[in-house]
Amino acid sequence: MNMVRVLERTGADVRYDAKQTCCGQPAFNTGYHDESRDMALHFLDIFDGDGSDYIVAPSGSCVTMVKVFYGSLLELPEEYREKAERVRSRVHEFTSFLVDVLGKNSVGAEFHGRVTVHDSCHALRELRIREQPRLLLRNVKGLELVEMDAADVCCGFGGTFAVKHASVSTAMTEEKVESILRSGADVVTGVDSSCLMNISGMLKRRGSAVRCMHIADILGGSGS
Amino acid sequence: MNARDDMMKKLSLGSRMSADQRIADLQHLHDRLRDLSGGDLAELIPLFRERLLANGAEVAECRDGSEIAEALESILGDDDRIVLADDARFADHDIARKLSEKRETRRVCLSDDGNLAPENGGWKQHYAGMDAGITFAVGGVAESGAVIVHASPGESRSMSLLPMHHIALVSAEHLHATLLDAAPLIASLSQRNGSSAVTLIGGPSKTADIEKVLVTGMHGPKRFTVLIVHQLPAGQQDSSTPLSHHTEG
Amino acid sequence: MTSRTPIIPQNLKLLVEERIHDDGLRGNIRRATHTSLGKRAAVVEDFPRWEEMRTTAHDIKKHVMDNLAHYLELFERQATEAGAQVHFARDAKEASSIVCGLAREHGERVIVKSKSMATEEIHLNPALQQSGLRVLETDLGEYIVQLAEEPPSHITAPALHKSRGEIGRLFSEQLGIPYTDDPEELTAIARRVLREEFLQADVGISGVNFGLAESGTICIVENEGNARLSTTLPKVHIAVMGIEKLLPDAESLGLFLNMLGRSATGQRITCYTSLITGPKRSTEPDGPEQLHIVLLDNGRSTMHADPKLREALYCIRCGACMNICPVYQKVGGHGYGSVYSGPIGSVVTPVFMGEQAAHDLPFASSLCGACADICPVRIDIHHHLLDWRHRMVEGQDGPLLERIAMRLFTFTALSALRFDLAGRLARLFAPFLKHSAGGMRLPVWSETREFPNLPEKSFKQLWKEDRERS
Ligand code: SF4
Repeated sequence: MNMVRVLERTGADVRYDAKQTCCGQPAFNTGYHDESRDMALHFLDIFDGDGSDYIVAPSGSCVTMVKVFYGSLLELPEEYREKAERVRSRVHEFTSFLVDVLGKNSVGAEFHGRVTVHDSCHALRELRIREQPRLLLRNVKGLELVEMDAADVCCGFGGTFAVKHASVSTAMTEEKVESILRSGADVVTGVDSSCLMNISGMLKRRGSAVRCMHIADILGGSGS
Repeated sequence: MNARDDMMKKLSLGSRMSADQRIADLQHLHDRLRDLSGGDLAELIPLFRERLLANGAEVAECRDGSEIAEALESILGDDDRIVLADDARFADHDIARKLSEKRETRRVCLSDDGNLAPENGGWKQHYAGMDAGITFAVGGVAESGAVIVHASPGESRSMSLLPMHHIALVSAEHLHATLLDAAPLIASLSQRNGSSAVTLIGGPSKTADIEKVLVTGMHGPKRFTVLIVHQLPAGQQDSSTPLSHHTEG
Repeated sequence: MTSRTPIIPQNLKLLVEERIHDDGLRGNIRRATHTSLGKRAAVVEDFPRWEEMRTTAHDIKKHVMDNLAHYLELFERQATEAGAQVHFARDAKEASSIVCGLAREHGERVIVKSKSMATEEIHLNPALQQSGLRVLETDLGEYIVQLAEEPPSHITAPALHKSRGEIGRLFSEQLGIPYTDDPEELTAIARRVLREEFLQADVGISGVNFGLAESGTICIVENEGNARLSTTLPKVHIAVMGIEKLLPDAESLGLFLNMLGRSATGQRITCYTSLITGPKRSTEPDGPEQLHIVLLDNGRSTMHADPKLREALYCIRCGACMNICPVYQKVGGHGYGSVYSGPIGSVVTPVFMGEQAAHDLPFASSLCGACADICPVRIDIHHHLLDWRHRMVEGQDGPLLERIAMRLFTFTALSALRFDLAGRLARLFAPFLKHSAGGMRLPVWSETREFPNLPEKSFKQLWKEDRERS
């Protein structure tokens, strides 16, 4: 809801179609293209020609699926190619939408705490989102932005990877958590909930007081 | 079908460019390469020097042929045993004679026909006991910090490889800005009637295979020194150079 | 030398489990990969246009692959004219039997080898040993792993997983010398032992980093000088070269040398770059009398024929994708159980070892994409892994449970109603799941991490409430 709040604060008219479900990435990543394609077509049917100018999602990963993988790595039937093209150009990750599309550096938020950013892989490497969240955070009143070392290194989640190769995944998450703790931040944020969920799982297990918050929850806030 | 034809057949199925297309495509790539070479590195010598040092090489400079002997004296140890390239330029200014006054000096070639006679393994030992090999480089690459040497009648492959110290003389006029600028030289040396071995040398032999600790002198020279000569006559190596006859040990 | 124990795993996971908890090993790998990455970053800065260089390198490789038959023929012709003898090998067996034949013919005493992935790929050493020949690895790292009877663990740093203490003990046991763990001393010992062997050797075997079609030249880059020794001292030099190593000419080579040294070891240029065109000329003082070049296919033409996989042939084996890979950093090269490890290894190994044996490799990645970002020839490595996952699942290889789960999820997600319902159910049961998770599959993950608290209400509910309020 915080994303909606921020967007509305910028003057956008926000709509939500309750028929939407999933972009199909989980199946795609695991190799199940048929299943993934079914979801992709469902997604395209809902969003193409729905009357809105932009589609904004608080997840770099889902946006990557639509913007990068639909039609290139995930083959779509002929009649859906144009649809995919139209939808692709309207889909934006939340922070990139604010900064790159709306040209906003600040959303007038207030948040008290030391915050560090984890760069989610899809957002960083497929969508080249790195500065956008930092720019927005730097302009949050009361917020101190601190950088962790190796912010751009994967947190080890990777969807089914975390289950299939749990021990490697765990070792990666451990290193990420150590970087976070070294940074001295009390909040770690990012543009993807899946990474944050993974990181938060280990922080909690370790009994750490560092909190994980999606960037929309920081930008939508007006306190600590 | 034999292996060759089998492989060629499979590969040609996936190679569909016409000759004209291929030539145009390559031409275009060459243009891009040339654009990338950006060879306006004005001060080549300082860059060359800096990069060589960064690569672990030692660098010395002298003005012209008349200073070479002196410069080499200051690089060499008094009782270093040395191998000299068979190059007329070592006869100029008495360089070879001056160097051999103090120390045991060998030339490249052992046998009378000017050949190292590889079938007789003895030649390998010829270098193994030597402390330094002194060669002429045909060029230098400033950006990389490397010199280009090549096997020729007057210069063996081994003399820059087996001794513990390799000294390469290079003319300041033969410096190239980048590897891309040196490509035509490398191409012309590597013709089928050119040299069998063209070698870019960018530093002393080294390894970091044990815990990434840098150690020099793994298999080749432990020291690599480049002597930049500001004015050096062009070389024409010649195995019949009247080298003041060496003092065999 | 005794033969190495080949590691051919049924499943990558097995190898990982025992290795991931080896803190010493992880420390060694971590130190080594981080050193390389740091040095790389420093010298890449020399070129403000590095990104354009990567694109150009990619396009040159593409040009070669799109004209591979032409360039291979040109290379063969030019090399032959220069006096080399060119051989073609369709697969590993053919290649190793060609090399063994040549070696038997010429190698009475010892065969010296300089590091080469292609010879590892064709399992040359065991074959030579079976032919009764003594073959010696001469790259220090390779020499160490040969003494330890292990396969190399990294393309450019084969003994990267070993500490100096381990190497000291190994030398002391195998060479009968007093123990030292000083890298300087250990290196000097290896130099002495190996130099004697070099002077005795009749045959030298090397790999090839680049082949220049224009002149039939082979290019070998190295730092130690053992490749130079192997290709200079013995009477016969045999070079094994994958057919994908071709470049058009010396101009392209200039670019690739700039990128290889920097990406591999963070060097502007490696100490020695040998450009060998034919055997020793009659007027030259030294060098081998015979040069044999074995051109190796072994699955490459299959990759070439596949429009997607072809890109994997652009690889120049710099190892940067391994250094940067967080999975590689945890498990090391041996964890992959293949000659080619790391991200690109997981792309090419299914071709070399078969999809069945390599089935798990494409899944052993979080798909973070750091590999593709660092690759000097811009191979979209992680996208190739995704592609393999798809191919393997298509091949009906997916685990049954996973397949059912995916179907179920899709079925659910195709209807907003079902999706909703599932969400409600999940929220309802999540607290129980968390506490009674013991015997389930998912908890492999949550053994080390807390299961997330699902929000009490879905976004859809929140949205509805919010809109009703306003
Ligand atoms: S895939 Fe790219 S980064 Fe990895 S080894 Fe090959 S060239 Fe280097």
